[in-house]
Amino acid sequence: MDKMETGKRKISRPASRRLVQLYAALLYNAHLKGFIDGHIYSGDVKALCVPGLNCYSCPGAVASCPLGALQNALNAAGHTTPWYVLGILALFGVVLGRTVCGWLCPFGLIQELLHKIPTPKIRKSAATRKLSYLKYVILIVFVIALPLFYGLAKGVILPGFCKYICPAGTLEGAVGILQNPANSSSFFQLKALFTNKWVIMVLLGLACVFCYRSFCRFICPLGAIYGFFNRFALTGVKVNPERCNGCGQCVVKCPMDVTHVGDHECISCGKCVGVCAQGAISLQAGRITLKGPETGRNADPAPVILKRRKTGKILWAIALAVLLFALAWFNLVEPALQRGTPSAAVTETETETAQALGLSIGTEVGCLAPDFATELLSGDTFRLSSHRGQVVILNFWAITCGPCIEELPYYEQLKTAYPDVEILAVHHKAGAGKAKDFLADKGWDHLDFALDSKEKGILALLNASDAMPQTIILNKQGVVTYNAQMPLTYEKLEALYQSALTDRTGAPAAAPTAKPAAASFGLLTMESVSVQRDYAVTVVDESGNPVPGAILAFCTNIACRNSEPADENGRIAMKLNPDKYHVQVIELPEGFTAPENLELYIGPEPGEATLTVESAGSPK
Amino acid sequence: MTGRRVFLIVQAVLCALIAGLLAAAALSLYVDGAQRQAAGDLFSPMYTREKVGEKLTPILPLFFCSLGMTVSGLLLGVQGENQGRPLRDERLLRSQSDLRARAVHQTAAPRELYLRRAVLAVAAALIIAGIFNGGLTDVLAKGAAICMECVGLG
Repeated sequence: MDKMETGKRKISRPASRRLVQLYAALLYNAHLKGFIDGHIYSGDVKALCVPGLNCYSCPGAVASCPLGALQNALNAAGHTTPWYVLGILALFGVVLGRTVCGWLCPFGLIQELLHKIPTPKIRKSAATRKLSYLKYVILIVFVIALPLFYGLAKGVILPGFCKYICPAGTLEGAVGILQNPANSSSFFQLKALFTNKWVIMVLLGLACVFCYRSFCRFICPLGAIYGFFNRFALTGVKVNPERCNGCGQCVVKCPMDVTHVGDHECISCGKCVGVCAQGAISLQAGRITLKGPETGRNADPAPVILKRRKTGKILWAIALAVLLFALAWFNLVEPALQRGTPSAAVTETETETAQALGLSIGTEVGCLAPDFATELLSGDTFRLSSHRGQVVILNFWAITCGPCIEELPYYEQLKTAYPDVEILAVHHKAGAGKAKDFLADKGWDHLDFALDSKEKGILALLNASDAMPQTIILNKQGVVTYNAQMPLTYEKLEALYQSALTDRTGAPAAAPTAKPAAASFGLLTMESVSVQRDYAVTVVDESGNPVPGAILAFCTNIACRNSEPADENGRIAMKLNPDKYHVQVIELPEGFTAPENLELYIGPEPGEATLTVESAGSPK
Repeated sequence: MTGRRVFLIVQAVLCALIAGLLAAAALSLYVDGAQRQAAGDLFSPMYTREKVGEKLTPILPLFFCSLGMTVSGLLLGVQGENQGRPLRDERLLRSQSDLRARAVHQTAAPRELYLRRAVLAVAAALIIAGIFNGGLTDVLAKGAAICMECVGLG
């Protein structure tokens, strides 16, 4: 690298625009706790929209994305006119215009950082200028037409841009959720949609490395909306016509596809302010000059300038105070952060029952579900424990969730085909009021519906995910056999029901030599896996003697598979899908007990493990 | 070819390679899963944390290599080719008078001022109307739960 020609510019302290971008990104995503615990923020502040593109399913997001909210509002235009979101967009547009893109958009910041990677760059040209009109097509087709058409004509929720394109949703939402080990089960629902969106995100990221703000210039419909307001927005880059000599250096040096200062492509980054030799350009908010030829660091320190700098420092101090307050509020104080846990409402009877069965109480597969009661929309009361002896399906849904509404008819179909199953569909606490009207004319008479609320806290009690739809299936003993957040087809639902019907987990212990009930597989389909691997567990007592007859369960996050009884050497061999399995004790011969807080995992690589059980009377 | 140019080309190839491998990883996981499901295993997951880890691990050395080059490039002040270079496409440039006339001026024209005030008033009215017609609650309802299809999860 000795011949390397390096530029004269060294790394300098960040420009104020970069600091504002970082500040906005942090403020929008002040719920940092969400990145640690894997839950999104669901408090009342989410009713507000931030000006920039920031996915509201990001674990850190404290407010909603205006583009997502617009699509949702257009989807629901049949019953609620989208005044609120249109008003918000108009407000941001007229006050800030595309200054939002240049200063307040976290995804804009990401694009600019990607463009910092030193590679050959593609310059703007007439071709990129033409390509910049693509975002208006995307706005019309994906943001307006698709949600409106599907909402009004078909009653289906379809946020076209979010669903098929938005890389901010993939990066901040999907990756933000999936990176947390607490959301490992979310991997199971990834299919073609995620694959498409992932590839789009990667390609757009690559494009941003070579071409400045590729997404912002060519794709982003939010920028297209704000562009309509740029001409008369309060804030933006403005020109003093008396000083301007029309040299065009501002356009030449601008990295965006502008044809003149302040046009619909201008993001008011302020680069042209420093370029203009005439000092004709400034970034203004009304009459206040935010950045201009007279506010530079080398400018004449006239009293007015010094006063402005002092004001700037005070504003930064206020902004930092606001940020600190937001961080404290959204991570420590906000009441919506208090989530219930199943153990909070567990009675002594339940605890005793669970102990007798050798199970723990919870909503993970293999646990005894906690009892709860709630009032149904029909006026009756649902109590979980009164349905022991029946397979119970708990479905969590929301009126704003398209896949939830698509799968609800399958539950109705299942209940019609198998009247013995008990199905309770619980609506999320947010928007529950409208769910009642929505259900009125659906004719899903076989299902029991309940509406969650802050006071009831059903979803919190059952430790439900923030992701909808979620389905929990309990066997006849009230033990969870399936718990996942993904939409189901009728075939899958029926298979899961049949599986729960034959599952004996939690049933009174049979003789040690007795064969487990029909297949005893948590999921029928786990048998038919083409690529299976060998896993084995040897069950021994404290002295290392084999314990024949023991039955174990091998559980993933979505299903369990029970083993055959251990052979005379205490060995249980299983052929399973490559995965990580939590080994649980289902049955032990008389005189043996499972160790308390058993934490034995095996996989994903094939292997063997030893489980040491306790014989009766042995010192603990 | 100068050292700087070699540096930029290597970095560009690395970036393209990483992006290609990331896209290929997702596609191969999807194709494998689709084949298993087509064979009748409805519940076989296409993606698991372990499978994703297996696919991403080989990309990590390339990623760190690219990251290292980026950091060293930034420290040495190596700029991307054409980065910050002026536009050469004359088709985008307007005439001097046109540039001056079309630019957004510091002193807004009366027509623009009226428009700005009118839009502000309409925006305020729309927001108030939206609060009363349930639009505000709709935004909260959508934002309070993870929108699975919005983020590509389901």
